[in-house]
Amino acid sequence: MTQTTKIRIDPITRLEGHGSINIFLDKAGKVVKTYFQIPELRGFEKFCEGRPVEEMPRITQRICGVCPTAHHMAAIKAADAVYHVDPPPTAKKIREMMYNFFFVADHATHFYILGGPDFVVGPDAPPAERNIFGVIAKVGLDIGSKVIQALQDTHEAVAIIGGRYINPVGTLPGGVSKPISEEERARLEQIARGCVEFGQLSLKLFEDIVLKNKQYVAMIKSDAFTHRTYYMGLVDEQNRTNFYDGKVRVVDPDGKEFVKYGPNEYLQHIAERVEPWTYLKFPYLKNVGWKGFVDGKDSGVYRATPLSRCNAADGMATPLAQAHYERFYHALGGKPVHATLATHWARLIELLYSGERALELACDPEITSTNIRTIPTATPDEGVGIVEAPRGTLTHHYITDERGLLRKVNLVVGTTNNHAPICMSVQKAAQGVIQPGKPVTQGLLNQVEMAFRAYDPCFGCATHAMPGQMPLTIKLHDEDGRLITVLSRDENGRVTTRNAEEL
Amino acid sequence: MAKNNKLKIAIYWAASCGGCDVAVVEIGHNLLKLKEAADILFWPAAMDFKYSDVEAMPDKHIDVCLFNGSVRTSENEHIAKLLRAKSKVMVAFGSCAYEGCIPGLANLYNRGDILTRVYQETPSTENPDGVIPQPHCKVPEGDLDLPEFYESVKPVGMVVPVEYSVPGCPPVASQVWGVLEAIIAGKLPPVGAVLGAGDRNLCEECERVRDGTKVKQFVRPHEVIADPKKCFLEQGIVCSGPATRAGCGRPCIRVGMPCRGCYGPPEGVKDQGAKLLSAIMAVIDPEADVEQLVSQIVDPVGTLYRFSLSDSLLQQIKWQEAEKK
Amino acid sequence: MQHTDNTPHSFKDEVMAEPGGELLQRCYSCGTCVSMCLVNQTCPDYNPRRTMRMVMLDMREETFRNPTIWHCSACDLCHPHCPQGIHISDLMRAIKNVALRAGYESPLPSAKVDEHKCSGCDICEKACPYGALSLAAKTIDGKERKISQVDRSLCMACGICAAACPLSAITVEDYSNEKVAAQIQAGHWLKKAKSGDPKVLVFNCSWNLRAEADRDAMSELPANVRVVNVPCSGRIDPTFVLTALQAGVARVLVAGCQPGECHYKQGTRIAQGRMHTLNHMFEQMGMDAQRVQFVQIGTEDRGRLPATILDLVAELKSSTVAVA
Repeated sequence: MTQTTKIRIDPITRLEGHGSINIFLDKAGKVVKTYFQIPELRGFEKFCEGRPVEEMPRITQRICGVCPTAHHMAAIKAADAVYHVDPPPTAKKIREMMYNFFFVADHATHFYILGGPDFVVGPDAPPAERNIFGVIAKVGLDIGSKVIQALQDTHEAVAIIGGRYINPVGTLPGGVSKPISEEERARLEQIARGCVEFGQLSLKLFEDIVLKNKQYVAMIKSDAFTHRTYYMGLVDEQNRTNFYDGKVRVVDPDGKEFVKYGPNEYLQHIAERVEPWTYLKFPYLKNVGWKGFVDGKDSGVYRATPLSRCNAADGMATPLAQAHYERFYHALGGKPVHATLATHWARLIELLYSGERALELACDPEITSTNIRTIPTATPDEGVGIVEAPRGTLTHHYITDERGLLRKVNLVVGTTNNHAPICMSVQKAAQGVIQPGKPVTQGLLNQVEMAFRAYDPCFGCATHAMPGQMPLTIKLHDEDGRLITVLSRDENGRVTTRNAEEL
Repeated sequence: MAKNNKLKIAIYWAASCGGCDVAVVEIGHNLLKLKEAADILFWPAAMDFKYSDVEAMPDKHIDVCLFNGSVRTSENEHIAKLLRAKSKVMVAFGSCAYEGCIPGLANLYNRGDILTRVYQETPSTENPDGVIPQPHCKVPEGDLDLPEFYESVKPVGMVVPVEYSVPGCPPVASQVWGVLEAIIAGKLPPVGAVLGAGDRNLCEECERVRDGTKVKQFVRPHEVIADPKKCFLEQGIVCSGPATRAGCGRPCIRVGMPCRGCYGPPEGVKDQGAKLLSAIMAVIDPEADVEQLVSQIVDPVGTLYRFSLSDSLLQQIKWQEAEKK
Repeated sequence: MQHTDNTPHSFKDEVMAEPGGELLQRCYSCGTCVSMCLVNQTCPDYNPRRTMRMVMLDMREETFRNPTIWHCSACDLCHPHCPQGIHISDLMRAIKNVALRAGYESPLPSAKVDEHKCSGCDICEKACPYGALSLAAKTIDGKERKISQVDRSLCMACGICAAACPLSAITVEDYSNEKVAAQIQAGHWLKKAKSGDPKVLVFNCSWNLRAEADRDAMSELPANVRVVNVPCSGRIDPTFVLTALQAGVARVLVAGCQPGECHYKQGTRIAQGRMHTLNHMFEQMGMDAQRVQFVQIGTEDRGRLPATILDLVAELKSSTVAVA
């Protein structure tokens, strides 16, 4: 075994449960390997056995309190499939409308509060400013209050349709439980218009603050934050992104369609690998094969993120978003884009699309119809439901008995798709910034975090640091495991180094 | 750390989905009021203080710790005990911390079955060597540790004593702010109380009409088109409302879905599932076939104890039986 | 003497004018009803034949003071056997209504609602076989709410409502949760559960033992069996069963009556629904479903309940599985 020292970053925040990064250095101080561990497991795939399939939207949405609606939608689509029932058009539209309002809220939360501050305020800005308050200071109170209002309004929209924003209800196999009244529809239309405006505002902000900044653009395009992987996303019949329904399309690192499959075929294309050092599994493309934590055409590693969806699709289904989509690729040198940090930009394009799509649906003449349920008549057996979660393609696969009680459950979750890419991105960033002889600084810490934060990992809450920023501790051990140095960055960004003698 | 008169608060998530942290954020502009009144010393969901910061605090340094999530792993237990030592008051915040919540249904299965299903059986998993994640693992570069996955899910109150509980999955925003306001003002009831909710059952908040109809058969919500104005139970749709604590504002009922009990049992009720069963079987029609009614409740544990299994008498009995084996 | 108008001129006429009392004069005192009646077996003063006779003899005060009209629970075991087709429980109720109007009160214990705990959820009203509970608006702690109220004149003190109430807001005096718990714990019986023979707790309905021999057998059971009598198996809240098991009892047996023979109309059906669901839940949990048992004793089942209990005791003794 090579002699190594281990740097442990613990905890990484905004993980469901907790995550930790272990960086192993060789004797010369070069990064040999990093391990990104997920220490959390609750076992939904087992304890859902025996549950009635119509309860699965409510049950599986407790997998994540940030994107419960994603699991909810995948679950209800799987339940429809289990019952071989087709909901009336209005029911599907109501569901899709609720889903798009949720997408606006979730993407906005990530950009303004979670990952975005790195750009809006800047990767080298004082750590104490890299949070929503720093964002508000940078963009001004006027825009800041618009952000908060947008969040409140989208939460209200989801609650109108689904009762509440966190853990909504209201779907049943065969449809939804409540029609939309004209009064509600008018309010939803109003909120959706606000979402479109807000999407445009956000993209303008990104342009002014990020795209006009040469340093940021260089960072986005840098090799340290680039991986050439396969890309996955749900597309409609015209190969345009759709979050609620469609087929899964995968393109290769050159942007060519590799495969397009329907829900029932997912097992032919996706496999998951287990490693003993983390509770989270590693999905990969079965027909390419697992070649390790490497990218490229020969590796089955794929990504499922807003960036991936843009790469996998031929365009966006709404006009304003489509215009931005074209600008995006023009600016970054054509399709596909491999720059991980460009995901932030892609996310805002999706935010705009969601607003436009929600508006389309809110103005649809069928949306207030009371024909919202088809009572299932077939004997339930098996079904797969796939949606795009904000963080990636989400698959729910159910096998039930003849009463519709779950016998077997298989879930391939949004962020899980990205577990291997996250490991790779973190390692590449660490290798790029931790060099022999170079002092370990707070900038280093932040860049390692940025590599992972771009994926908007779905084990996180919707907010980022409030006052202060992300304190970190790095402990350096020698070969015998003795602690030699503790490097700390506190909430105000002050970095202190304490040597063993002082400890 | 804070040399002022501000309240010192910690918000922590154990085996959690993050929803209870989002629930704190949902108080919206009141977050600024919170920030004015309190210093949040530890909130991994939103503020990245480390465990070592907590370890460095003197005992009872934190005034109030809002602890969400249940205890499922050794890390959860460790941090629960750490925060208990460092906090004057500990609040079991949200259904997981209070009563185990939906992940508590994992107690229907044993640890081995869960690991086997997740890592070996699921159809998309390719694991020819039968690898299962381990608490300690040697990799070519060194050693890696993972927290131990325990045999059962437990509410935090079973691992450390807590002073108060806030039910809900998650607690609704208006109640969350009410609790925070009470904490800030120092106006808390005697220790042991449930905060942020009423005492009686959800039926008190429900505007649906009850006309005395008794149940001829139990139906599942997707099998019928329910009358939106009538009581669910009177239509034969199992609703946990009668045995669920009021306080959420009945959002689910409002959009046409029956309650599933996320606010836990009403005041004075120890076992939510037993009480719910007692109530729903008492309103059956004299002509109905009892055995058919029993078979129509297709998943009794999962329905009657959806959120409260870990905290129930039924669960206690199971643990006793397991101990004797 | 024939009267041409409908005004009752005698007690008998008064009763016959009351809804339910119309067929009084058909009774020819055969006594078949008494032979079927369970109440008469333990309370000889309770006698529907005599009561009907007393009415026909215009013995007003004696009738009102007799327990029969107050204790008749409309179990209707008698009705199918009356050769004259008289609905005797309806008749008893008619006489009771006359008594109530005359200012008499039911001597039975009654259910009581705790107004602070009650939410007006109305489960109790639907659970009560006698329509003795209904909601009324009341101001409590400054707020107007709908609260359940008991009509004493209708309440048969069966306790079905007390178990049904999900807030434990209703008590029936002699069979409150506290009294039941005290009966279980009397003589430190539960403490002794930790050592010695495995404990069997029997919740027995008061009406399912027809023969003197059975009643005697029940008082001669071994020390590791405790019998708690309740008016009706419908009084048994599943919480009691779980509490007992959690406290170390090995087996809980709930004994009721056959459907159609329940002294309080539907209590046994309610108990059946609860107990069988409890069994299913034990199976779901991978627990020993034998720990909860429910038996319905029929009018013809001589010796069955004591035998069932003794079988349980024997099975536990020979079982190699460690129990409490």
